[in-house]
Amino acid sequence: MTNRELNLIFLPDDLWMSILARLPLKCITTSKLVCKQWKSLVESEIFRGVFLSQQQNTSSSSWSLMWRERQIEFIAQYGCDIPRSLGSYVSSFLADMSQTQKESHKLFPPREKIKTVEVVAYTNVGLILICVKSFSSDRNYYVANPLSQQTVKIPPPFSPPLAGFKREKSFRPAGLATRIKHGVVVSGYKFVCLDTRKVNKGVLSFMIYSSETNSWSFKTVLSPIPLFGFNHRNPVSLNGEIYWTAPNEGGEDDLVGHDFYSESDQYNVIPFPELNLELVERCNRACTISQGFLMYMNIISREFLEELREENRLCVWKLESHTADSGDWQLVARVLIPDGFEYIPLTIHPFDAKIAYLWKREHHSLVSVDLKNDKFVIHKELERRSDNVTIKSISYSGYEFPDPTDEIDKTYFSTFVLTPWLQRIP
Amino acid sequence: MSSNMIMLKSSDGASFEIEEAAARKSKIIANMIEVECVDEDKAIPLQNVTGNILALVIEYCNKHIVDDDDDVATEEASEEEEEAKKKKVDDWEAEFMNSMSLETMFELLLAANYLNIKSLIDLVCQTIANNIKDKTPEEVRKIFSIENDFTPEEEEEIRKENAWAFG
Repeated sequence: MTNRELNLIFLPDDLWMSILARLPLKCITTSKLVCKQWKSLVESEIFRGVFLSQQQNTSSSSWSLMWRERQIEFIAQYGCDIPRSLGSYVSSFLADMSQTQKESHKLFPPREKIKTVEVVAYTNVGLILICVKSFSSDRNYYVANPLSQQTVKIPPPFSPPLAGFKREKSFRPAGLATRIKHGVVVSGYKFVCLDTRKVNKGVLSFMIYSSETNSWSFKTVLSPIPLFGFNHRNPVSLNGEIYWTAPNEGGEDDLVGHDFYSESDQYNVIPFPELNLELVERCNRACTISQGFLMYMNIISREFLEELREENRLCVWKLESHTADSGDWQLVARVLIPDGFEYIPLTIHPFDAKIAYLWKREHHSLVSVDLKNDKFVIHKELERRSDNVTIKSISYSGYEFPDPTDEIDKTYFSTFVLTPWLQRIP
Repeated sequence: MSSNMIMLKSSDGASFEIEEAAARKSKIIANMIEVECVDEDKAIPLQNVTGNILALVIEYCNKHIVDDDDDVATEEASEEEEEAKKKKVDDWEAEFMNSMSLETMFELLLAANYLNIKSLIDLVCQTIANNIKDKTPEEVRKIFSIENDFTPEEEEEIRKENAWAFG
């Protein structure tokens, strides 16, 4: 260009922002080096707002569906900013961490050596919770951003000793609560552990680490509705609140939740949408977050006895709101499933509530369902779509890959989602 | 379709005739038409836009009246037709921007901003952004004749800060 001598026309800040907000995040980070004006522009809150409204399209966001127990990435979508899938970031991060941990523990007695390094919770704010276990079963927890490789160790709850420390062994990690505002995490994070021995008395006892106060505390929440078990292993975290499932008196699962950023001393018990008697739910209840709402999906079947056939439909509900003991579930889709095949609901696209993902048992493959036009699409092992977005799915290629349906009762899928805006761990 | 003609007058005194439908691409002009402060025989004076830039704005608006009007008519149009049409507009826009110097782009952006033509603002911003997408800070400074006002220490500090992102 021949504008060496050119005294470029003055552009107001808001126009500069509209230009810079169209850059990929990586270039925005580099653009801070251009001059002071640009640096202060892109670091401003206004700019973040402009950027987030530009990035509304679903294609540029990155997320993965992880099969927790086996640490296998089931679905991966990654955009222009990220050259690899989130799952591959997670696995290389864990490998590095495991290596460093092992090296630093070389001189330790055998019992204190590191046995495993694994993810215990994924979030929809770009953070993961990692547990490092030694041979003596000591556990240390870390909050990490596998992309930036930033890691923060959560201090153990017993230094200085807390009252009630003896019971620490019965507490299990039950999730990471965060709040999101304008695309970034505000008010730090809370690492929540649950006393699993006490759930059936209408009391939930938590031990909570808050990054804001850098300290542990106990919180006990109550409800007139007792629980008859508790599944703490598959938390779904949404804007301060964590949801789990727990069986009720009748043996049916309810959704149980608590807002860890509220003053409330109650836990909420939200029954799943009620079906009429002719209908049966076929699968484990799959809850997931999409576009800021908790979504629930299942395959509902209805038998037609005279005709000796049954009709299966994929049903998706959205939890509009809830009280301490009921939820306002909106049925958002009811899609007829082609006859004769067995499917398991996996997740809903975190940025597009109109796309659901299922596992098709017969073909050992991933199927996406467009809920707007009832279209079923089987995904090949690797697919590349336009505008630099890659959708990867794992499908059975004849060897080693386990079929989740064989272990469906102890299988948990978690979605791991990046926030569109980069942020240091608070 | 209304084929009312409107006169626009640039800051340097050049007059342009434009179809009302095209002129309505500008929110500002559309508003003027709504509140009827447009006199049929009098040109609308645009003090912040020079003749050569206004000519470009008008070229853009003329090219884009069609799609708005067609929205209703082509409801039945097939997906392929839609795509082909979109591609044609994209190609035209690429060509339109391609022939422009950076200085002209800036002036066009200011004019689009003043006249409040959202799609043109988007187009120009995106084109400028594409120009600097894979450039180093040094190259970007050169393109925009921006002076580096950081001390080497400050620059090092930012680089360090940036290092955590994307490893």
